[in-house]
Amino acid sequence: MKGIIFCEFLEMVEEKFGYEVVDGIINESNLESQGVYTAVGTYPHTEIFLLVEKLSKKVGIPINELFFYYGKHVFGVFEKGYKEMIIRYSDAFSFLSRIEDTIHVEVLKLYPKAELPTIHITNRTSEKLEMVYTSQRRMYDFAEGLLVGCMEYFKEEAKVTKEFVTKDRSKVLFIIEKV
Amino acid sequence: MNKENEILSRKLEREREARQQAESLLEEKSLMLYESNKKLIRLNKLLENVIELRTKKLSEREHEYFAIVESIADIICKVNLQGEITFANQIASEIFKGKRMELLGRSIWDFVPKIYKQRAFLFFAKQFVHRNRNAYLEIPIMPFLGEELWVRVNIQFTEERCMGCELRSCFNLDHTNKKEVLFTCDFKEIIIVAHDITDKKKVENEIEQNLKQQGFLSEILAKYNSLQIFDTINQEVIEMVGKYMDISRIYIYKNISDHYLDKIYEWKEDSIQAHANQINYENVNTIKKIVDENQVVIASEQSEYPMDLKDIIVTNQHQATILLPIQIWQGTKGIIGFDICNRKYEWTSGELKFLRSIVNIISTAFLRNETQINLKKAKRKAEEASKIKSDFLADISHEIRTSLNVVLGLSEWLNTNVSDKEHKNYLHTILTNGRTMLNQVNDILGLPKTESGNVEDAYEVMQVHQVLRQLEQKFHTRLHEKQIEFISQIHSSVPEYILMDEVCFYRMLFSLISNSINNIINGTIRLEVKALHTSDPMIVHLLLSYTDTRFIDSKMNQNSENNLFGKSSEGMLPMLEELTQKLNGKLDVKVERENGIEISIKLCNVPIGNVIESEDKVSKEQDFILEPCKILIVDDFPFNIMVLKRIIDFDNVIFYEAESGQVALDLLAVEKPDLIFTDIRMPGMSGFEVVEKIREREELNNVPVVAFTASSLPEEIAQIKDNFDYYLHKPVSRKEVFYVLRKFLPVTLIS
Repeated sequence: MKGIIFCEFLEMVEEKFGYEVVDGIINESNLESQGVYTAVGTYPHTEIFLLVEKLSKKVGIPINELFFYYGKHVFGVFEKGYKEMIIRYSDAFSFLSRIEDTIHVEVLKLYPKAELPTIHITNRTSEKLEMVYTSQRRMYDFAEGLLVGCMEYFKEEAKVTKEFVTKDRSKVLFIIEKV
Repeated sequence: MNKENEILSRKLEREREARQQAESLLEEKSLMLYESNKKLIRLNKLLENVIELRTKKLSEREHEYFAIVESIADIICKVNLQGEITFANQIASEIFKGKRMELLGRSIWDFVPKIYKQRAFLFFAKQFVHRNRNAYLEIPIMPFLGEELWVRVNIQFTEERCMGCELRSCFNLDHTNKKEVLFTCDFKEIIIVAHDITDKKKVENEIEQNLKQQGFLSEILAKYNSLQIFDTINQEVIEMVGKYMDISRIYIYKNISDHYLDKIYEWKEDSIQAHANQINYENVNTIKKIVDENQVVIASEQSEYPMDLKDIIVTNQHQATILLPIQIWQGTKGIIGFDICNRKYEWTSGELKFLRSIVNIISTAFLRNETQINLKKAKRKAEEASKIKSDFLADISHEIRTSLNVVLGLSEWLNTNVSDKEHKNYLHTILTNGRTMLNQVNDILGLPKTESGNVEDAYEVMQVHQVLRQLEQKFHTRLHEKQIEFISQIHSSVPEYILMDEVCFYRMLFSLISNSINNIINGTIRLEVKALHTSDPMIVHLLLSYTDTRFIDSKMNQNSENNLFGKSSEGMLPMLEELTQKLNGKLDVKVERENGIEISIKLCNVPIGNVIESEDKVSKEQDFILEPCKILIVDDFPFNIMVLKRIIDFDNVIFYEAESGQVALDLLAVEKPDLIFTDIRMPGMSGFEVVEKIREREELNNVPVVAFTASSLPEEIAQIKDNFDYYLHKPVSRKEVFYVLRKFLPVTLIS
């Protein structure tokens, strides 16, 4: 997993709960990286689950909610860092429909070894978008957060629901309906 | 506070480590980038090298290509879709007689003659669709300068045509000069390769022209072979030649070498002055030279004429001339001139050759004509000679017949008036021999044997033994000389009298016996005569069996192998056959050399003669008595008159005699006879003149005139038939004369 995910997470935790919490979860997690992350580095994805799990225990917020909020937060980070990639789209559905063939293609150019989830649009009307999210990391809550962040960015009100397509939850159907 | 510091220091430591990690990662990344950059640069250089190599090779290829294009002796052009020339090789510019740059940008249609444009465009369009590499088109092209050239055009396309190509809009080598092209079309150019075939075309044209000329020459030949008069043909031939060759005037002067012109033929166009009779060619040396040396005068304009011709020709308005000699055998017999008037004209060698061929034909025709004229002359001479000969023979025949007439006529008279049996016999022999002699004379002269054409029936009552006796008497001496025994046997079955052509019968046996006598010595001739009865009691078949026993010496034997009848008997067998046939008989020849010849003759259907008839022969011929009448006989030979008078031996006839036509006419002025006999050939007035004069006299109109002639010329006989009421042929027989009497004079029949 790209270092930026860890950096942004720890930064968000430090901002919300102070560095003491950050230091605490790092120490408790007994990490291979010793909690030293740089945005250009690559680290095992298990570490983010460990960090989120320790945080959940420490602050008493469920893990899925933490992933959701983190997703929402990261969209804001992406929006600031990669503005030119988003600005060309006028609405959320158009942007979401092109993630797979533009954004992910660009990411792979920069990080050939990146393991990205796949996003497959199964249905699209002006009011409703259905997309299947596939990832062995099962970070569907994080993805949901990103979706909600996206809707907020485009100032579109919508209800996001999710259904698990497979038992192991590696495949998830998101339904985004405008309100 | 300590704890806070501790946490802070851990945070700082982590951040430092993170920074270090990032730095080392970045360094690693940049190293990687550097490496890959270096790789890229290397690749780039490689690529550049490859491109350079390719470019070099391509340009070499292009050079080679252009070198080849320049070295090929064909016109090679590239044209774009508007038909504008975008490239032309050196040959093209040489052939088009322009600079290479001048060619570029011009439309190729400027070089194609109008009438070929459509055809060429169709060919281009067809190639555009079918792309047949081997297809070609032959068309003429017109260069900037000079004569048109014939080329064989082949076109090639360097590109495939574009997908959306529509023939009309894309392929617009616009021969109608309409500039309208789709610029979106991918198709750019067409390569045109044109091979110069002008020489080949020239040869082809020449062959074609030669064939045409051959046809024309055949026409002339056919003309000469037609049945028209030679002069007319000549005139027509020169007119044909003049029109065919577009020549203003043609003239033929014949026989100028002998210093006279025996013939002039001339033909000219309507507007052209006549040439003939204006020039005295005798005095022109050039002409003499042509005639002497068989040369030719050829001039394309007046200045080229030989000096001595110039003076003549200037006044005769012609410009270009060819003079050729007419050659017959080895010599030159005339001259033919071909003029083109009022314009200069370069004669080509082909035309000269062609004209020579025509002159040869005309020369041959002259030769043939001359030969024909000579042949006609020779034929006339031969005919004249032949006529003289026939006239001579006719004269001789006439003389002999005249004499025979007297001999036979008087013998016949004697035969009827003599009572002594032996004398009668002699007279019969004289008559038979006389008639034989008459036939022989006719044979020699090639005249018809049967006499006078009036009396067809030569059959008379004949006694076989009498004929045999005559023959024996005839050959008596020779038989004795050669010690040949002649044995004749007449079987009792043979009737005493038979009806037979005695002369013919006699000749048949005569030739057999004389042949035997010629070929044998010391032998026997045996003749047996038998008769076979037929269903008709009055008719028999007569069988003659003739043998001679030959004791031939060896000398004679040598020849007899090839000729049955020996040396002197050539032609005997055919004659024998002819005679037998005439007597309605069959000839059968058997030969055994040792024993001699054996011949049997069967004469079929011989009527038996009436004994009474035979005895009353004379009275039968004379079964009438003439009424009193007057008969005029005109003949310069008094014996002939006597013969006729003896034959017409009636008491109540008054004879008038005249020894010439004039005497006869004088006599006719006072006397009117009932019948006139006249000779034809008489001194002074001929029989024809006599009858003409008689016919002029009205009072004599109904008097029959009978010609009495010894002539045997067919044309004279024909003339006699036309002019006379009847004619008698000398020598005459009683029978014939009596026939005439009964025909023209009133008679009383004796019952």
